[in-house]
Amino acid sequence: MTSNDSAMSVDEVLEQFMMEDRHDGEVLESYVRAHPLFAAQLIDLSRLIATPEADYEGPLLAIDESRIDASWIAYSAVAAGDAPKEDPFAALIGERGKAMSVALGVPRQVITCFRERRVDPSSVPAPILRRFSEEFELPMAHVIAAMRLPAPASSGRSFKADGKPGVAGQISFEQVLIDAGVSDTDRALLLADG
Amino acid sequence: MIVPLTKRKKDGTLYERPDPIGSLLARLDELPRDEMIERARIRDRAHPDYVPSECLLHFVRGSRRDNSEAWFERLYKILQERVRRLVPRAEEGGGGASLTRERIRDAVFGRFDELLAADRRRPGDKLDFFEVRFDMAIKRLRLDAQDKVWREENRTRPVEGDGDEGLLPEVEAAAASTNPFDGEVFSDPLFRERLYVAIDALPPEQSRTMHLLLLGWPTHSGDPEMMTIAKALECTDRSVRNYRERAMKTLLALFNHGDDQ
Repeated sequence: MTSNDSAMSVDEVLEQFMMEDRHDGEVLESYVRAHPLFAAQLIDLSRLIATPEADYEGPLLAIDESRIDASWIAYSAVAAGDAPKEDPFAALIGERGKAMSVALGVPRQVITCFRERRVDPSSVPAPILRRFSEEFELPMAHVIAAMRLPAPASSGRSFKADGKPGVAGQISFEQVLIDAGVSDTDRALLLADG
Repeated sequence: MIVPLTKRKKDGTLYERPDPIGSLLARLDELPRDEMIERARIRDRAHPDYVPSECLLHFVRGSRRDNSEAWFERLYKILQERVRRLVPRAEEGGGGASLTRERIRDAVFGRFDELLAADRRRPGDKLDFFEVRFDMAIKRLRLDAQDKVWREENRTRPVEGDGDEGLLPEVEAAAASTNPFDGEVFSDPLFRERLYVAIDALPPEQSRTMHLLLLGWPTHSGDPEMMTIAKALECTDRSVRNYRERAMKTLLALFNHGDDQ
Protein backbone atom coordinates (compact mmCIF):
# COMPACT_ATOMS: atom_id res chain seq x y z
CA MET A 1 0.00 0.00 0.00
CA THR A 2 2.56 2.55 1.04
CA SER A 3 6.24 2.58 0.40
CA ASN A 4 8.42 3.82 3.17
CA ASP A 5 10.55 5.75 0.73
CA SER A 6 12.23 8.69 2.36
CA ALA A 7 13.12 10.05 -1.07
CA MET A 8 9.48 10.60 -1.95
CA SER A 9 8.38 14.21 -2.16
CA VAL A 10 5.25 15.45 -0.43
CA ASP A 11 3.56 15.67 -3.84
CA GLU A 12 4.34 12.05 -4.60
CA VAL A 13 3.13 10.88 -1.21
CA LEU A 14 -0.13 12.83 -1.44
CA GLU A 15 -0.79 11.68 -4.98
CA GLN A 16 -0.17 8.08 -3.97
CA PHE A 17 -2.57 8.57 -1.06
CA MET A 18 -5.20 10.01 -3.40
CA MET A 19 -4.94 6.97 -5.65
CA GLU A 20 -5.90 4.64 -2.80
CA ASP A 21 -9.32 3.03 -3.04
CA ARG A 22 -10.05 3.74 0.63
CA HIS A 23 -9.21 6.77 2.73
CA ASP A 24 -10.25 5.53 6.17
CA GLY A 25 -8.39 5.83 9.45
CA GLU A 26 -6.40 2.67 8.86
CA VAL A 27 -5.03 3.77 5.47
CA LEU A 28 -4.28 7.24 6.81
CA GLU A 29 -2.43 5.75 9.76
CA SER A 30 -0.24 3.64 7.48
CA TYR A 31 0.72 6.76 5.52
CA VAL A 32 1.38 8.84 8.62
CA ARG A 33 3.60 6.07 9.98
CA ALA A 34 5.46 5.75 6.68
CA HIS A 35 5.80 9.50 6.10
CA PRO A 36 5.67 11.26 9.49
CA LEU A 37 7.19 14.41 8.00
CA PHE A 38 4.07 14.89 5.91
CA ALA A 39 1.57 13.97 8.63
CA ALA A 40 -0.14 17.37 8.70
CA GLN A 41 -0.60 17.44 4.91
CA LEU A 42 -1.89 13.86 4.89
CA ILE A 43 -4.36 14.55 7.68
CA ASP A 44 -5.55 17.76 6.03
CA LEU A 45 -5.98 16.02 2.68
CA SER A 46 -7.79 13.12 4.34
CA ARG A 47 -10.13 15.60 6.03
CA LEU A 48 -10.81 17.41 2.75
CA ILE A 49 -11.56 14.10 1.05
CA ALA A 50 -14.07 13.32 3.82
CA THR A 51 -15.69 16.74 3.48
CA PRO A 52 -18.62 16.67 1.03
CA GLU A 53 -18.25 18.60 -2.22
CA ALA A 54 -19.46 22.16 -1.83
CA ASP A 55 -21.23 22.06 -5.22
CA TYR A 56 -22.74 25.49 -4.72
CA GLU A 57 -26.14 25.61 -6.38
CA GLY A 58 -26.94 29.31 -6.60
CA PRO A 59 -25.99 31.82 -9.27
CA LEU A 60 -22.31 32.62 -9.59
CA LEU A 61 -21.15 35.93 -8.22
CA ALA A 62 -20.40 38.63 -10.78
CA ILE A 63 -16.77 38.54 -9.73
CA ASP A 64 -16.60 34.81 -10.49
CA GLU A 65 -18.17 35.38 -13.91
CA SER A 66 -15.70 38.09 -14.79
CA ARG A 67 -12.77 36.01 -13.56
CA ILE A 68 -13.87 33.13 -15.76
CA ASP A 69 -14.02 35.48 -18.76
CA ALA A 70 -10.55 36.80 -17.97
CA SER A 71 -9.28 33.28 -17.49
CA TRP A 72 -10.56 32.26 -20.93
CA ILE A 73 -8.93 35.27 -22.59
CA ALA A 74 -5.61 34.35 -21.00
CA TYR A 75 -6.00 30.68 -21.86
CA SER A 76 -6.95 31.25 -25.48
CA ALA A 77 -3.97 33.58 -25.88
CA VAL A 78 -1.58 30.78 -24.96
CA ALA A 79 -0.04 29.33 -28.08
CA ALA A 80 -1.08 25.72 -28.21
CA GLY A 81 1.71 23.19 -28.28
CA ASP A 82 1.95 21.38 -31.58
CA ALA A 83 0.18 18.09 -31.75
CA PRO A 84 1.76 15.46 -33.98
CA LYS A 85 0.40 15.98 -37.45
CA GLU A 86 1.76 12.69 -38.69
CA ASP A 87 3.05 9.44 -37.31
CA PRO A 88 6.54 10.15 -35.93
CA PHE A 89 7.48 6.46 -35.94
CA ALA A 90 7.01 6.33 -39.71
CA ALA A 91 10.31 8.23 -40.01
CA LEU A 92 12.25 5.40 -38.33
CA ILE A 93 13.35 3.77 -41.55
CA GLY A 94 16.69 3.50 -43.29
CA GLU A 95 19.59 5.18 -41.56
CA ARG A 96 17.40 6.86 -38.96
CA GLY A 97 15.87 3.56 -37.96
CA LYS A 98 19.31 2.02 -37.75
CA ALA A 99 20.62 4.90 -35.65
CA MET A 100 17.68 4.54 -33.30
CA SER A 101 18.27 0.82 -32.85
CA VAL A 102 21.91 1.55 -32.02
CA ALA A 103 20.93 4.33 -29.63
CA LEU A 104 18.53 2.06 -27.77
CA GLY A 105 20.77 -0.99 -28.05
CA VAL A 106 18.10 -3.19 -29.63
CA PRO A 107 17.91 -5.18 -32.88
CA ARG A 108 16.38 -3.41 -35.88
CA GLN A 109 13.27 -5.59 -35.71
CA VAL A 110 12.37 -4.01 -32.37
CA ILE A 111 12.28 -0.61 -34.05
CA THR A 112 10.15 -2.14 -36.80
CA CYS A 113 7.72 -3.37 -34.15
CA PHE A 114 7.42 0.18 -32.79
CA ARG A 115 6.89 1.49 -36.32
CA GLU A 116 4.16 -1.07 -36.91
CA ARG A 117 2.50 -0.25 -33.57
CA ARG A 118 3.02 -3.76 -32.22
CA VAL A 119 4.13 -2.53 -28.81
CA ASP A 120 1.79 -1.79 -25.91
CA PRO A 121 2.92 1.68 -24.74
CA SER A 122 2.01 0.99 -21.12
CA SER A 123 4.68 -1.75 -21.07
CA VAL A 124 7.47 0.51 -22.32
CA PRO A 125 9.75 1.85 -19.57
CA ALA A 126 9.94 5.62 -19.20
CA PRO A 127 13.60 5.90 -20.31
CA ILE A 128 12.77 4.29 -23.67
CA LEU A 129 9.73 6.55 -24.14
CA ARG A 130 11.90 9.51 -23.19
CA ARG A 131 14.45 8.53 -25.82
CA PHE A 132 11.73 8.49 -28.49
CA SER A 133 10.42 11.77 -27.15
CA GLU A 134 13.87 13.32 -27.61
CA GLU A 135 14.32 11.78 -31.02
CA PHE A 136 11.00 13.11 -32.30
CA GLU A 137 11.20 16.33 -30.28
CA LEU A 138 7.69 15.65 -29.05
CA PRO A 139 6.18 15.51 -25.57
CA MET A 140 5.93 12.00 -24.18
CA ALA A 141 2.13 12.21 -24.36
CA HIS A 142 2.35 12.47 -28.13
CA VAL A 143 4.75 9.56 -28.36
CA ILE A 144 2.34 7.38 -26.42
CA ALA A 145 -0.60 8.67 -28.43
CA ALA A 146 1.24 7.78 -31.66
CA MET A 147 1.85 4.26 -30.33
CA ARG A 148 -1.88 3.90 -29.75
CA LEU A 149 -2.80 4.85 -33.33
CA PRO A 150 -4.18 2.08 -35.56
CA ALA A 151 -1.44 0.02 -37.18
CA PRO A 152 -0.32 1.31 -40.60
CA ALA A 153 -2.10 -0.47 -43.43
CA SER A 154 1.15 -1.50 -45.09
CA SER A 155 2.40 -3.55 -42.17
CA GLY A 156 1.97 -7.09 -43.30
CA ARG A 157 4.51 -8.81 -41.10
CA SER A 158 3.38 -11.73 -39.07
CA PHE A 159 4.64 -12.07 -35.57
CA LYS A 160 4.29 -14.44 -32.72
CA ALA A 161 3.29 -13.52 -29.22
CA ASP A 162 3.35 -15.82 -26.26
CA GLY A 163 2.70 -13.02 -23.82
CA LYS A 164 -0.54 -11.41 -22.89
CA PRO A 165 -1.79 -9.21 -25.73
CA GLY A 166 -2.19 -5.51 -24.99
CA VAL A 167 -4.65 -3.00 -26.39
CA ALA A 168 -5.80 -3.88 -29.92
CA GLY A 169 -3.50 -6.87 -30.19
CA GLN A 170 -0.38 -5.08 -29.08
CA ILE A 171 2.19 -7.08 -27.14
CA SER A 172 4.44 -6.08 -24.32
CA PHE A 173 7.83 -4.50 -24.90
CA GLU A 174 9.36 -7.39 -23.00
CA GLN A 175 7.76 -9.89 -25.37
CA VAL A 176 9.08 -7.93 -28.36
CA LEU A 177 12.58 -8.14 -26.89
CA ILE A 178 12.20 -11.89 -26.27
CA ASP A 179 10.99 -12.44 -29.83
CA ALA A 180 13.95 -10.44 -31.11
CA GLY A 181 16.34 -12.70 -29.21
CA VAL A 182 17.61 -10.04 -26.80
CA SER A 183 19.61 -11.68 -24.02
CA ASP A 184 18.30 -11.83 -20.46
CA THR A 185 20.96 -9.39 -19.28
CA ASP A 186 20.25 -6.82 -22.01
CA ARG A 187 16.54 -7.28 -21.49
CA ALA A 188 16.86 -6.52 -17.80
CA LEU A 189 18.76 -3.33 -18.62
CA LEU A 190 16.22 -2.24 -21.23
CA LEU A 191 13.30 -2.94 -18.94
CA ALA A 192 14.73 -1.00 -16.02
CA ASP A 193 12.43 1.94 -15.31
CA GLY A 194 14.86 4.44 -14.10
CA MET B 1 -9.09 8.85 -30.66
CA ILE B 2 -9.03 9.28 -26.89
CA VAL B 3 -5.45 10.14 -26.01
CA PRO B 4 -4.17 7.95 -23.17
CA LEU B 5 -2.79 9.39 -19.96
CA THR B 6 0.98 9.44 -19.66
CA LYS B 7 1.60 9.91 -15.96
CA ARG B 8 3.06 6.95 -14.17
CA LYS B 9 2.39 5.67 -10.69
CA LYS B 10 5.21 4.85 -8.35
CA ASP B 11 5.12 1.23 -9.52
CA GLY B 12 5.74 2.34 -13.10
CA THR B 13 2.27 1.64 -14.47
CA LEU B 14 0.44 4.35 -16.37
CA TYR B 15 -2.48 6.22 -14.89
CA GLU B 16 -5.72 5.01 -16.36
CA ARG B 17 -9.10 6.63 -16.42
CA PRO B 18 -11.81 4.71 -14.56
CA ASP B 19 -13.68 2.44 -16.99
CA PRO B 20 -16.94 4.45 -16.88
CA ILE B 21 -15.02 7.63 -17.74
CA GLY B 22 -13.10 5.95 -20.57
CA SER B 23 -16.18 4.47 -22.18
CA LEU B 24 -18.20 7.67 -21.73
CA LEU B 25 -15.40 9.67 -23.37
CA ALA B 26 -15.56 7.44 -26.42
CA ARG B 27 -19.31 7.99 -26.69
CA LEU B 28 -19.11 11.75 -26.08
CA ASP B 29 -16.42 12.01 -28.74
CA GLU B 30 -19.03 10.93 -31.31
CA LEU B 31 -21.69 13.42 -30.22
CA PRO B 32 -22.56 16.54 -32.23
CA ARG B 33 -20.92 19.45 -30.45
CA ASP B 34 -24.14 21.30 -29.64
CA GLU B 35 -25.49 18.21 -27.96
CA MET B 36 -22.26 17.80 -26.03
CA ILE B 37 -22.52 21.39 -24.78
CA GLU B 38 -26.12 20.86 -23.72
CA ARG B 39 -25.09 17.81 -21.73
CA ALA B 40 -22.10 19.58 -20.23
CA ARG B 41 -24.44 22.24 -18.84
CA ILE B 42 -26.31 19.67 -16.71
CA ARG B 43 -25.32 20.23 -13.09
CA ASP B 44 -27.26 17.44 -11.45
CA ARG B 45 -24.75 14.65 -10.94
CA ALA B 46 -27.55 12.09 -10.73
CA HIS B 47 -28.90 13.02 -14.18
CA PRO B 48 -28.33 10.19 -16.71
CA ASP B 49 -26.82 12.63 -19.23
CA TYR B 50 -24.50 14.33 -16.74
CA VAL B 51 -20.97 14.73 -18.07
CA PRO B 52 -18.37 14.28 -15.31
CA SER B 53 -15.73 16.99 -15.04
CA GLU B 54 -13.06 14.38 -15.84
CA CYS B 55 -14.55 14.18 -19.35
CA LEU B 56 -14.96 17.95 -19.72
CA LEU B 57 -11.33 18.46 -18.86
CA HIS B 58 -10.30 15.85 -21.41
CA PHE B 59 -12.02 17.80 -24.19
CA VAL B 60 -10.65 21.13 -22.98
CA ARG B 61 -7.13 19.68 -23.05
CA GLY B 62 -7.86 18.54 -26.60
CA SER B 63 -8.43 22.15 -27.68
CA ARG B 64 -4.82 22.38 -28.78
CA ARG B 65 -5.59 19.96 -31.57
CA ASP B 66 -8.65 21.80 -32.80
CA ASN B 67 -9.36 25.22 -34.22
CA SER B 68 -12.96 25.52 -33.07
CA GLU B 69 -12.46 28.25 -30.53
CA ALA B 70 -16.15 28.95 -29.92
CA TRP B 71 -16.78 25.36 -28.93
CA PHE B 72 -13.84 25.26 -26.55
CA GLU B 73 -14.70 28.60 -25.04
CA ARG B 74 -18.06 27.22 -23.97
CA LEU B 75 -16.57 24.00 -22.63
CA TYR B 76 -13.80 25.86 -20.84
CA LYS B 77 -16.21 28.22 -19.14
CA ILE B 78 -18.51 25.40 -18.04
CA LEU B 79 -15.53 23.59 -16.53
CA GLN B 80 -14.33 26.73 -14.77
CA GLU B 81 -17.80 27.36 -13.41
CA ARG B 82 -17.84 23.87 -11.93
CA VAL B 83 -14.52 24.48 -10.22
CA ARG B 84 -15.88 27.67 -8.70
CA ARG B 85 -18.89 25.79 -7.39
CA LEU B 86 -16.67 23.11 -5.87
CA VAL B 87 -14.60 25.40 -3.69
CA PRO B 88 -16.54 26.73 -0.70
CA ARG B 89 -17.40 30.40 -0.87
CA ALA B 90 -16.75 32.85 1.89
CA GLU B 91 -19.71 33.51 4.15
CA GLU B 92 -21.61 36.74 3.71
CA GLY B 93 -20.61 39.50 6.08
CA GLY B 94 -16.83 39.40 5.80
CA GLY B 95 -14.60 38.86 8.81
CA GLY B 96 -11.21 37.23 9.10
CA ALA B 97 -12.35 33.68 8.37
CA SER B 98 -14.23 34.84 5.25
CA LEU B 99 -11.21 36.71 3.99
CA THR B 100 -9.06 33.62 4.49
CA ARG B 101 -11.53 31.47 2.61
CA GLU B 102 -11.70 33.94 -0.24
CA ARG B 103 -7.92 33.98 -0.51
CA ILE B 104 -7.89 30.19 -0.59
CA ARG B 105 -10.47 30.20 -3.39
CA ASP B 106 -8.46 32.70 -5.39
CA ALA B 107 -5.32 30.63 -4.96
CA VAL B 108 -7.12 27.47 -6.15
CA PHE B 109 -8.48 29.17 -9.26
CA GLY B 110 -5.14 30.76 -10.02
CA ARG B 111 -3.35 27.43 -9.78
CA PHE B 112 -5.96 25.66 -11.89
CA ASP B 113 -5.60 28.35 -14.58
CA GLU B 114 -1.82 27.91 -14.50
CA LEU B 115 -2.08 24.16 -14.92
CA LEU B 116 -4.47 24.49 -17.86
CA ALA B 117 -2.29 27.09 -19.57
CA ALA B 118 0.90 25.07 -19.03
CA ASP B 119 -0.79 21.98 -20.44
CA ARG B 120 -1.92 23.92 -23.51
CA ARG B 121 1.53 25.39 -24.02
CA ARG B 122 3.26 22.06 -23.73
CA PRO B 123 1.25 18.90 -23.11
CA GLY B 124 2.40 17.22 -19.94
CA ASP B 125 1.04 14.92 -17.27
CA LYS B 126 0.22 17.33 -14.46
CA LEU B 127 -3.49 17.30 -15.29
CA ASP B 128 -3.68 13.54 -15.74
CA PHE B 129 -4.89 12.92 -12.21
CA PHE B 130 -7.71 15.43 -12.84
CA GLU B 131 -8.95 13.11 -15.61
CA VAL B 132 -9.01 10.25 -13.11
CA ARG B 133 -10.54 11.89 -10.01
CA PHE B 134 -11.39 15.50 -10.72
CA ASP B 135 -13.06 16.47 -7.45
CA MET B 136 -10.25 14.99 -5.42
CA ALA B 137 -7.69 16.81 -7.54
CA ILE B 138 -9.44 20.10 -6.80
CA LYS B 139 -9.30 19.24 -3.10
CA ARG B 140 -5.58 18.73 -3.52
CA LEU B 141 -5.33 22.24 -4.97
CA ARG B 142 -7.28 23.46 -1.96
CA LEU B 143 -4.82 21.80 0.35
CA ASP B 144 -1.89 23.59 -1.27
CA ALA B 145 -3.78 26.86 -1.32
CA GLN B 146 -4.80 26.73 2.32
CA ASP B 147 -1.27 25.77 3.40
CA LYS B 148 0.04 28.80 1.56
CA VAL B 149 -2.62 31.17 2.89
CA TRP B 150 -2.34 29.88 6.47
CA ARG B 151 1.43 30.26 6.37
CA GLU B 152 1.13 33.83 5.12
CA GLU B 153 -1.47 34.72 7.72
CA ASN B 154 0.52 33.17 10.54
CA ARG B 155 3.31 35.60 9.77
CA THR B 156 1.09 38.58 10.34
CA ARG B 157 -1.04 37.57 13.27
CA PRO B 158 -0.63 35.56 16.45
CA VAL B 159 -1.02 31.86 15.81
CA GLU B 160 -3.41 29.79 17.80
CA GLY B 161 -1.83 28.65 21.03
CA ASP B 162 -0.40 25.17 21.09
CA GLY B 163 -3.23 24.25 23.35
CA ASP B 164 -0.93 23.50 26.24
CA GLU B 165 -1.48 26.65 28.25
CA GLY B 166 -4.41 25.39 30.29
CA LEU B 167 -8.10 25.25 29.65
CA LEU B 168 -10.26 28.33 29.74
CA PRO B 169 -13.06 28.03 32.30
CA GLU B 170 -15.80 27.88 29.66
CA VAL B 171 -13.85 25.23 27.76
CA GLU B 172 -13.45 23.28 30.98
CA ALA B 173 -17.22 23.39 31.30
CA ALA B 174 -17.72 22.18 27.75
CA ALA B 175 -15.21 19.42 28.36
CA ALA B 176 -17.15 18.29 31.35
CA SER B 177 -20.43 18.27 29.48
CA THR B 178 -21.78 15.30 27.58
CA ASN B 179 -20.44 15.11 24.08
CA PRO B 180 -23.49 15.53 21.80
CA PHE B 181 -21.59 14.02 18.87
CA ASP B 182 -21.10 10.73 20.64
CA GLY B 183 -23.06 7.63 19.84
CA GLU B 184 -25.44 6.87 17.02
CA VAL B 185 -25.65 10.40 15.71
CA PHE B 186 -22.04 10.07 14.57
CA SER B 187 -22.95 7.28 12.20
CA ASP B 188 -25.69 9.30 10.50
CA PRO B 189 -24.17 10.18 7.12
CA LEU B 190 -26.18 13.39 6.78
CA PHE B 191 -25.06 14.58 10.19
CA ARG B 192 -21.46 13.69 9.42
CA GLU B 193 -21.63 15.74 6.22
CA ARG B 194 -22.89 18.77 8.12
CA LEU B 195 -20.28 18.20 10.77
CA TYR B 196 -17.44 18.03 8.25
CA VAL B 197 -18.58 21.24 6.60
CA ALA B 198 -18.46 22.90 10.02
CA ILE B 199 -15.08 21.35 10.84
CA ASP B 200 -13.74 22.77 7.59
CA ALA B 201 -14.07 26.26 9.04
CA LEU B 202 -12.13 25.51 12.26
CA PRO B 203 -8.48 26.47 12.82
CA PRO B 204 -6.05 23.85 11.45
CA GLU B 205 -5.13 22.12 14.72
CA GLN B 206 -8.76 21.86 15.78
CA SER B 207 -9.95 20.59 12.39
CA ARG B 208 -7.20 17.94 12.33
CA THR B 209 -8.07 16.81 15.86
CA MET B 210 -11.77 16.56 15.10
CA HIS B 211 -11.18 14.68 11.86
CA LEU B 212 -8.92 12.14 13.56
CA LEU B 213 -11.46 11.70 16.35
CA LEU B 214 -14.13 11.02 13.73
CA LEU B 215 -11.82 8.42 12.18
CA GLY B 216 -11.65 6.75 15.56
CA TRP B 217 -8.07 7.61 16.45
CA PRO B 218 -7.33 7.70 20.20
CA THR B 219 -6.10 10.97 21.71
CA HIS B 220 -3.48 9.12 23.71
CA SER B 221 -2.46 5.60 24.65
CA GLY B 222 -0.33 3.80 27.18
CA ASP B 223 0.97 1.65 24.35
CA PRO B 224 3.96 3.46 22.84
CA GLU B 225 3.48 1.60 19.53
CA MET B 226 -0.07 2.78 19.05
CA MET B 227 -0.66 5.72 16.72
CA THR B 228 -2.46 8.53 18.52
CA ILE B 229 -3.63 12.00 17.63
CA ALA B 230 -0.98 13.51 19.89
CA LYS B 231 1.74 11.53 18.18
CA ALA B 232 0.56 12.41 14.67
CA LEU B 233 0.23 16.10 15.50
CA GLU B 234 3.48 16.10 17.49
CA CYS B 235 1.95 17.68 20.56
CA THR B 236 0.99 16.66 24.08
CA ASP B 237 -2.17 14.80 25.07
CA ARG B 238 -3.23 17.91 26.90
CA SER B 239 -2.95 19.98 23.73
CA VAL B 240 -5.13 17.50 21.88
CA ARG B 241 -7.78 17.70 24.61
CA ASN B 242 -7.67 21.46 24.41
CA TYR B 243 -8.04 21.49 20.63
CA ARG B 244 -10.92 19.09 20.93
CA GLU B 245 -12.76 21.09 23.56
CA ARG B 246 -12.31 24.37 21.76
CA ALA B 247 -13.57 22.79 18.58
CA MET B 248 -16.50 21.25 20.42
CA LYS B 249 -17.43 24.61 21.89
CA THR B 250 -17.51 26.18 18.43
CA LEU B 251 -19.40 23.28 16.90
CA LEU B 252 -21.91 23.12 19.75
CA ALA B 253 -22.63 26.81 19.39
CA LEU B 254 -23.01 26.41 15.65
CA PHE B 255 -25.30 23.41 15.80
CA ASN B 256 -27.39 24.76 18.64
CA HIS B 257 -27.78 28.02 16.77
CA GLY B 258 -28.62 26.16 13.56
CA ASP B 259 -31.20 24.00 15.28
CA ASP B 260 -32.89 27.05 16.74
CA GLN B 261 -33.62 28.40 13.27
